[in-house]
Amino acid sequence: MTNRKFGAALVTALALLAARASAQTVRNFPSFLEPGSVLIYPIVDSRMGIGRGTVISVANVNGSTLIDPRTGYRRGTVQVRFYYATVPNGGSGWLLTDIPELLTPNDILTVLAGDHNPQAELGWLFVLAEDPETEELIDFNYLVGDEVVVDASDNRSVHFPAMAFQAMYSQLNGPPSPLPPPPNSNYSNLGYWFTDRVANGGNANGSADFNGIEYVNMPDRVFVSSFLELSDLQAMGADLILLSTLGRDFRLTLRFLIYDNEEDQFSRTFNFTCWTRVALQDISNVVVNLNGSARPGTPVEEQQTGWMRINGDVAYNPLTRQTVLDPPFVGAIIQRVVAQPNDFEFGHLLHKTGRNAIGHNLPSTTIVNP
Amino acid sequence: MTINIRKATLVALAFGALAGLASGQPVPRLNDHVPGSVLIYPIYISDFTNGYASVVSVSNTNGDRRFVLPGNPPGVRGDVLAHYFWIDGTGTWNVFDNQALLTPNDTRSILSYDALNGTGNQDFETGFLVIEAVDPETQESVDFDYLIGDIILVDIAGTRTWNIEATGIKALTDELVGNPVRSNRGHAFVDRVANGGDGDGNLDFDNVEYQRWPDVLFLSSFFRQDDGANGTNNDCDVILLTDLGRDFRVNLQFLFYDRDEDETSRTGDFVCWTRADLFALANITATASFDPAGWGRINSPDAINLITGAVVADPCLMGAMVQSIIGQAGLEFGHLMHHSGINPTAAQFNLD
Repeated sequence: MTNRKFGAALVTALALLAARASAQTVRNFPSFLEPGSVLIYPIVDSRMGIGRGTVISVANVNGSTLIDPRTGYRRGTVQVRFYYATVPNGGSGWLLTDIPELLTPNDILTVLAGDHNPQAELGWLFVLAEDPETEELIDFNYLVGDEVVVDASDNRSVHFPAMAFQAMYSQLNGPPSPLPPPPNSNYSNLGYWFTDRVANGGNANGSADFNGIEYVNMPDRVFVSSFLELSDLQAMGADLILLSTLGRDFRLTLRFLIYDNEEDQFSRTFNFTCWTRVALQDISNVVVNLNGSARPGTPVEEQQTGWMRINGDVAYNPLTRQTVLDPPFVGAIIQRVVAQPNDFEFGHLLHKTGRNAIGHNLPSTTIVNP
Repeated sequence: MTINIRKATLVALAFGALAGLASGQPVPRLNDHVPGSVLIYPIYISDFTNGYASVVSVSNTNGDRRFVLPGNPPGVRGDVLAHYFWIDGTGTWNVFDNQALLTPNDTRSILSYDALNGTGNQDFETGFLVIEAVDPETQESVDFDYLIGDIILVDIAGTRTWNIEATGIKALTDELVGNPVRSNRGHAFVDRVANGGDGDGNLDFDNVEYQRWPDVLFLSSFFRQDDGANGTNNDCDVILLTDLGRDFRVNLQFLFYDRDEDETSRTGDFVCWTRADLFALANITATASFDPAGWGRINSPDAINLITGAVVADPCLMGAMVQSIIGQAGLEFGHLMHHSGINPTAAQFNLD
């Protein structure tokens, strides 16, 4: 073999190795319904004074009951830290309250948010998996959850699965050694990678970074798969829930493309800070007339519906004057039909695609202990 | 000699990398809440007589309006024909199909009644729905990962309603085949032998034509069912479907966990599709331990053909759950089941 061929073989080998590495990282986008290490619940409404309540569940599907002699914990045990992000009076910014809970193997915790965190009113919730011994973030893709949001005054309820975000290190490197970790190891005594450690590619900032290294990236764009025409706002309603993980100080600008029943496209921008629940007609008045029956192109049996494509445009922090292009966000939709004696209410998570390149983290602001 | 050893090492490295690449190919794993070429709606209800209805929506997120030349019928590249397969879940397991053209950025929402019973069908009061993306010209399956959808289920008399997303399953032809045979609209044919398909006209979820289904399903939480003891009456129904059709009895393994992590294992079974009370399906009579809630894991060890006796190991499942609190208010809510892993068994819809 000549040196030239040799070099070619080396290049080939390295290229293939690089290809393999990149091939293995193509799954760094979230799969909301698979178990994960971070759970995001899009809305928490605990305004009990007006009959609102939210039941939160989180389950640990890791069933390893072997007892670790060093810690006394069973190996499938995890500490989950609830971070309630409360938006004061529905305005801008948020207040964080964190509450740790221990989940033993196969455990489930179901709480009424208002009892679990008396400070919670309206906002959202994220849950992070931590090592119960060190309280560091760990790669523990075993958490699933859901929530029921109840409006008792109008007998309405919606149910959302929690959006799960998977840690990356075990996907790329497999589980750590079953042997006890040496001092200052990059995995815990219970056998889970520390996600934030520099040795594991983390940035040691104490937060969960959605950068494709510590955890999967956030989605790049989201869709509202359908919404009903709001031709009578007294009888119908639809709200969009949008949340950003950039923190309390960033104002996001989103770009909406709204399509009516004749595929006509309407564009609109919309601003919010950290979390919002906004009526669709406050984004665009197009939703009150989707135009379907006005033209012969739409068959009569079709209902008047539209859909939306939403992109992050820019986020701006007025305090630091920092600008983030293409900011990530996720969301859900709630629709309702007003009737007697009870209203109809229903909702679901928004669809998504791609992965957002912005590496950001949770928690992203000061934590207030209850 | 040193150089030769280095050369040998490099060659070994190259082949090692090749082998590693082969084994390290990214396994296309079913995601959720993403656009796909096949949409699976785990339930529809179309029983107007008893006050039940569904609104089925599908949207085409492809906005490509470039004209197709040649094309028959003429159209644009973002056109797709949505082929609806309604599977009856009331015992006949019959299939009724219809089609609708979706132009770029189109959305179509219909009452299931208009598609089914309004056409004279007496069956199809409930069941599940599959929508396949097909080429408007050839009516063959195409790799068109642009469809999203959801369904609203309404109980008019009980003033209850809930809403779930369709599961979007991606076609893999574009990802796996370098230069696939394409339609005039530019979309790869999924089932063509030249593109790695098996040409059987079926939907094969085998990680060649379409993504495989998940391996395990989870009930992330379910409330205790106290049958009015506390002034409420909680119901939890599970909705399960399989690709195996009417001839197979699918055996189920349930593992339930209460708040004390006590494990309860049960078995159950169903044919084709079911909406059943969770505890009745799993033969659980004492539910007090699941207070306030428990969670569950659902797996299927095998399915047995009731006619031939053939056994399919590890059959594929999808599902959703719906709960209701009847006593105090007409509250009903549900969502798709969580899932994990890749099922080693390929699923196949033969919807002829």
